[in-house]
Amino acid sequence: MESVKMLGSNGGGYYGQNSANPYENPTPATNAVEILLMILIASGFIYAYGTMVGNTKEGWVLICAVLVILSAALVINMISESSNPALSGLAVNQSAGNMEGKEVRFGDVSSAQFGAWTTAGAVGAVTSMHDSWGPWGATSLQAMMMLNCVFGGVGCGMINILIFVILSVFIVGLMVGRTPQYLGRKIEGYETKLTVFSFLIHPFLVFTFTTLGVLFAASQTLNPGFQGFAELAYAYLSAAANNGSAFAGLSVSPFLNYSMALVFAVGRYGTFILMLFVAEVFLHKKIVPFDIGTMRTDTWIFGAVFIGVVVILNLLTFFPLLIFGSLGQALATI
Amino acid sequence: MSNGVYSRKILVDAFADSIKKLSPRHVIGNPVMFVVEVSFFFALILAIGAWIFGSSVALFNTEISILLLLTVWFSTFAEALSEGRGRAQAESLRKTRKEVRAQKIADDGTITEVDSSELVKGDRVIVRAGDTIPNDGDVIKGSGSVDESAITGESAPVIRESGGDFTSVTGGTTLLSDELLIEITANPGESFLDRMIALVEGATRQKTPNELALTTVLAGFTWILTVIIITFNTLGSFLGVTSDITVLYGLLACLAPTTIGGLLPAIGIAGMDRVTQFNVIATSGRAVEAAGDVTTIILDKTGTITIGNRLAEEFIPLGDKTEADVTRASFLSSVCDETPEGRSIVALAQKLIPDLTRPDVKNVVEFSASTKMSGVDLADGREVRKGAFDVMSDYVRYVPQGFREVIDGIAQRGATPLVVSVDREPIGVIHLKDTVKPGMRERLQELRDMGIKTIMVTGDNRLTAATIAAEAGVDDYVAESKPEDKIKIVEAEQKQGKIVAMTGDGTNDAPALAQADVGLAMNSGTQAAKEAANMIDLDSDPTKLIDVVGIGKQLLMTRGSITTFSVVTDFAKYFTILPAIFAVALPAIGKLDFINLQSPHSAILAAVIFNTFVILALIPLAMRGVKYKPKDATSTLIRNVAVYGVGGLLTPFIAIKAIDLLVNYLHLVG
Repeated sequence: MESVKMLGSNGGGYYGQNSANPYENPTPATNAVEILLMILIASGFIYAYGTMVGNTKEGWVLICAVLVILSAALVINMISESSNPALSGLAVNQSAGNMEGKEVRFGDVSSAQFGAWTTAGAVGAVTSMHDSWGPWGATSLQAMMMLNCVFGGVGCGMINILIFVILSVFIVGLMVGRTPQYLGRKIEGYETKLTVFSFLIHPFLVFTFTTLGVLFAASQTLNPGFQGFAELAYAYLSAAANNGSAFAGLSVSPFLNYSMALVFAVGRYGTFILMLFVAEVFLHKKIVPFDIGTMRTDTWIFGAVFIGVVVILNLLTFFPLLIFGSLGQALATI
Repeated sequence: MSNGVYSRKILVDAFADSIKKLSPRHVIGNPVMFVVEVSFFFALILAIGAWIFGSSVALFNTEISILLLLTVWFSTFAEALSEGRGRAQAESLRKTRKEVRAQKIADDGTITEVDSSELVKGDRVIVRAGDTIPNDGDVIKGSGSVDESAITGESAPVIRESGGDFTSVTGGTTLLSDELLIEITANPGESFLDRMIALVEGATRQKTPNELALTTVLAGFTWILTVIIITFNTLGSFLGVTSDITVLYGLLACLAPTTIGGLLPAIGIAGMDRVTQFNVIATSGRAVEAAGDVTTIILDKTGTITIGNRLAEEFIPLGDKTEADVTRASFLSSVCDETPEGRSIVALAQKLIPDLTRPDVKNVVEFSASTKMSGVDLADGREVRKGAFDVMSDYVRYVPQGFREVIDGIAQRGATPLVVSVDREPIGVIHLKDTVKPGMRERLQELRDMGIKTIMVTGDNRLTAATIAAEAGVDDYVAESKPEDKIKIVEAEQKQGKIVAMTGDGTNDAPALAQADVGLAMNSGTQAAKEAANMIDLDSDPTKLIDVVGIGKQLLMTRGSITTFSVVTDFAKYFTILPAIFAVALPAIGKLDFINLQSPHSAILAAVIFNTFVILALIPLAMRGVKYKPKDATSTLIRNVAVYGVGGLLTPFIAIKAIDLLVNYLHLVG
């Protein structure tokens, strides 16, 4: 049960406390195993993709690129959870880190790591209350769900990675002086249109539904201000990225339930359907042989370009959402 | 056209035209600019409202709305400017398309004088020396020299004659000698000149596939940013903060990819202009784009890779003769030979023995296809001859020692041996060599660096082909090929997924020109070749194909670089505008403004000013294209990412800070 939950990036625990419950996740050692299981298939997919296209380097570059992004999240999480700024002026011993909402068996470091993997990997299993995380950590948790491609869920992570690969090749690829091509296939109008739409589904859903949430479910949040906004935004982000983890801090209402179900369905299947069309188009394309005038996608340079495109495009779209929520709160602490 | 890219007239015309292009009906074709223009109209209403009600933000609102309008205007100005350059070129072409009287000849032989505009396809006309050729056509009888300088800018007249590959004449050119019977091949308004005028004017210009795809991406970005701006205040209401609506319009204009959105049409047209300035007419922007993608270039040996004339390389004595003997004999044999080969022999001989003097010639023996030799009979009775090895070995009195070895040695090096004799006594052999054009080797190396494969096609034998191929440094060659074989080569390459470019001028090149992804026809070639190709070189210089590929690449690079720059600059704009919006209500977010702008309004104004004027600043880059060096993809990518990616990240911070200081210095914010 536990391994299915983690391996399949499903994340729904048997117990309400999910992976914080000792029956699900008794020791730091099992915690480590769970973290490993979370990304095992998602990262395996990328590798498998590399072998399928006949060049494992294509896969490794993408694995390394997303690992770099993930490392950033890990570092932010661990620093963030090592102390609680709200308590800094008080006579409280903070040597154990920010332990509010965390399991003493795991402590701050391990919880911070689990948080990064579970949001990045679209798993949704939790070992701690994300609502109780420090604002920087909460920002990074949401950022991972915004990107939705740092490994991502089983299958959908790979699709999102490919969306960004195609966008990277399209935007940056022109700079080598050829019309963009990926794996020997020219990227032309039709598939560009589909890819851009797939990319837009995620931010579109999150923005429109968080707005509707502000209009119709503002009273459902347990906190005012930044924290309350983050509670709403997290909920829709988690649904659209079909992460499934909860920030908590929202009381249930029929509006929230139904709207999230809708966001969840469109967020997942909308992307799938559009990208299947792209796959179909690519399948029938004439293959242009590789030469030194072709932009390579199996080099560290492309990895760096990929990271740049992922970060900038997502920053461009999601920045206001973070500013109104956790990032705004985080800035208030400095 | 030579007197400057931005001549006064072009600027004035572009100015007027760009105002006309502000019409929403025109702007809607450019989704990014359309959103900015709509924002302008709303911002304008808000500004007027603010003035009426005496609001304190009236000045600020007005400034933002003016900037939004300027953003759209700079974009239409860039487009108008690039079209203007094309129009100026069209203007000079149009001057040649004057109305002339034509001598139309009916089936029964009667001649009537008609206006050239009344001529239709299939009509026959007589053109006499000094007349302007009324319309495009094929010469069906006669031959004459034609001045085509009006179209090509080349002052030397060309020969046009019936039969063969030089039958096509162009309307507007002038016949200098003789008389031609011409069958008209174009209806009024459809002539080559008309089509060229339409093309360079951009009248029939359509968006290229890549441009359309990029427009989709930009429209997508703009669309999601519009959603963000619309939801912005509702989201903010959760925290109890809302932004001034005008500021949001400014934010939208800043975040939307306006830089590339504004310059995209201009980049495409300017790319075609650059091709036109090379005196090459592209029938569509698509052809220029395809040129950037070319992976295989098929080049003719003769005239493209080599000079086309065989030149004397050295003199080799035979038997007991000395080098001086053969040099003198060769000189004598060629003093009356006015062919390039003959002149090169004289030149080389005079270089080796400077005091050679012209002998008294009694009789000149011209080269003929049947005798295969030429020479002179001197006044002193000596008979000097030179000719091909096979005829000369029968002609000379004896075959000296080592004769075959010398001949074979030259042939093996891919060159041509000519045997020289005096009074039927063999003196020596002239080594004639087809020379690779100067600089050709470097150019072919550049192509290789860009990952483009070169194939040389020649009718020569394998040995000659291999030698020239090695000397020029082509990747592959096809020897002993007929023009008809070209299409097979094109198809074979395309089957491997290659994008193929080639040049041609003859009618039997036409199918291959049509089949190739980029077909460059020579203006001196036949009508069929010109119709099949998607580019025509007015100067008839096949090496230009290499330049055209470079222009295509540069076009795509410019598009990619400005797109990258445009997207990356948004990073800085977020960091200036968002903190400014919240500076009062949520001071925490104000901390994002790490470049310390003076006040919220000046920060927003500075960002919008940057966003607007960066379009104006980049117009020259869009016109000229980014710096282009023929290199492999990886180093080109690293360079452009460093310049336009990293540059785009840093430039706006510096520029916005500077503008902010200026805005405050000038008291532009109330």
